[in-house]
Amino acid sequence: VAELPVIEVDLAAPAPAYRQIADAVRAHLVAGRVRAGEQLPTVRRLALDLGVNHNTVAEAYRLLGAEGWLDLGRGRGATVLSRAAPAPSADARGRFEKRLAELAAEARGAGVPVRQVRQALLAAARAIGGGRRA
Amino acid sequence: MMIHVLFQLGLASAFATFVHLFVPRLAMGGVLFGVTVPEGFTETAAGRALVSRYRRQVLAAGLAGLASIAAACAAGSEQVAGLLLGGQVLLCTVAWVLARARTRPHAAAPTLRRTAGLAEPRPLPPVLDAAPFLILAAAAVLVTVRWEDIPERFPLHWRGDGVVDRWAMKSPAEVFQPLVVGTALALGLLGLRAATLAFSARRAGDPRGLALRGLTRAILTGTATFLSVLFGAIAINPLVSAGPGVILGVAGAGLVVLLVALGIASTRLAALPSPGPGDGTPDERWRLGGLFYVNPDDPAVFVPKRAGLGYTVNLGRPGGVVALAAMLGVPALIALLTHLLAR
Repeated sequence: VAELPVIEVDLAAPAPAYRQIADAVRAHLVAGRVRAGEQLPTVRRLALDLGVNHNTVAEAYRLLGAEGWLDLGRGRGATVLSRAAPAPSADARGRFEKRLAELAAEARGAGVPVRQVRQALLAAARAIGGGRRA
Repeated sequence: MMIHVLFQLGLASAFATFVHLFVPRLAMGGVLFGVTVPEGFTETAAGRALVSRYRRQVLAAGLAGLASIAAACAAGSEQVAGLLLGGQVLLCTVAWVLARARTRPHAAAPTLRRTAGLAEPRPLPPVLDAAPFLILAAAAVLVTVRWEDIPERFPLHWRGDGVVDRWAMKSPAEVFQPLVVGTALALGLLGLRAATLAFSARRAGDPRGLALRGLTRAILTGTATFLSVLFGAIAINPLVSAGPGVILGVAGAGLVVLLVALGIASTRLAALPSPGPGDGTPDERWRLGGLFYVNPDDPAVFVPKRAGLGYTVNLGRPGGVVALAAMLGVPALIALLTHLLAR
């Protein structure tokens, strides 16, 4: 069971639950821990496991569907799509760098040393780089 | 003589005391007397003092209950002795409610971190589900094949002192009745298991929560199998004329195995790490001494109990009300079925 991909959300965190779910699922998709063609849990099942409203999970799946990660066909649940890594647009890169800068500033504001921030960023990059590219 | 009544009620009294003494050990991590407390609080001096005081009160209630039951039996009043057992259980419940009130000042905010798996866990082999029905089917085949060997009149019920107090005349309804009841009970327990696992959080990433699910699955499957052995033994009893000893032996052995397994499992469960503090449910959603969970915002129909081991229903969901009605209604249906078949 420990080998199964697990996501975690913190309902006390400022980020909305649907965003946390989408981010956590995306992290597994990017790292290749959930492969193309595999089924994700149904909206009902994931909502039950996380103790959140069905709409929260449905919104997270819709977000990932819009990004091209999931096929949300009616009655078929959420199927992981084979997704070629797109060339990043200037807009996407800008959004990413802005979010990363905000996150790093938040960490520094909370007293996390620069060295630890750097190590965490490198570890995150290694984690997604080590996965299978679809 | 009231010796057999004293034995039965005395055993029930001792069992009730034992269960109530054990209850604080059975709680999920970071929950004491139904109140969310910081992880490790139970091992602090304050936590140990709360548990010790509760146990002293339960022990006093148990001893008082046992002594008064013995006195009532000596006076020849069976009904009063039964009421005194009920009084003992009530006193133990009051001790629980008082302990809960004393624990409240130590309450902590429950964790709001939740985990979920993205892949389906491996299902159990279906042969485990088939075992109770195969056992009952084997007993049915045996009594059918050896129908001629069944006596025209056979014992149906024994008094506490081993004397037969009810007989049955040989008929398909009387002979197959235990197998029908056994099948209904096995179906009910396996249905309850399936519903509990399907409509509760799977708790991936929470070793204690995962272990509780495994234990619930094992206990309900094991109990269904044990009951099928017991009712199979009752059904073939007219063929072997073994008396109540074999049946009581099977029932007693099953109960001992269940209690020992529960004791070992609860000890192991308590040692497992938990995301804590608490079980992820808000304290204010637990009503009437923390025994009933009413939370319409929680999609789970079944949630881990706060008093005892296993699951309880979420009465804030329509599914929880239906499940409770089914759990009360199915035994009533079995009792009605038994009564109709016995006519």
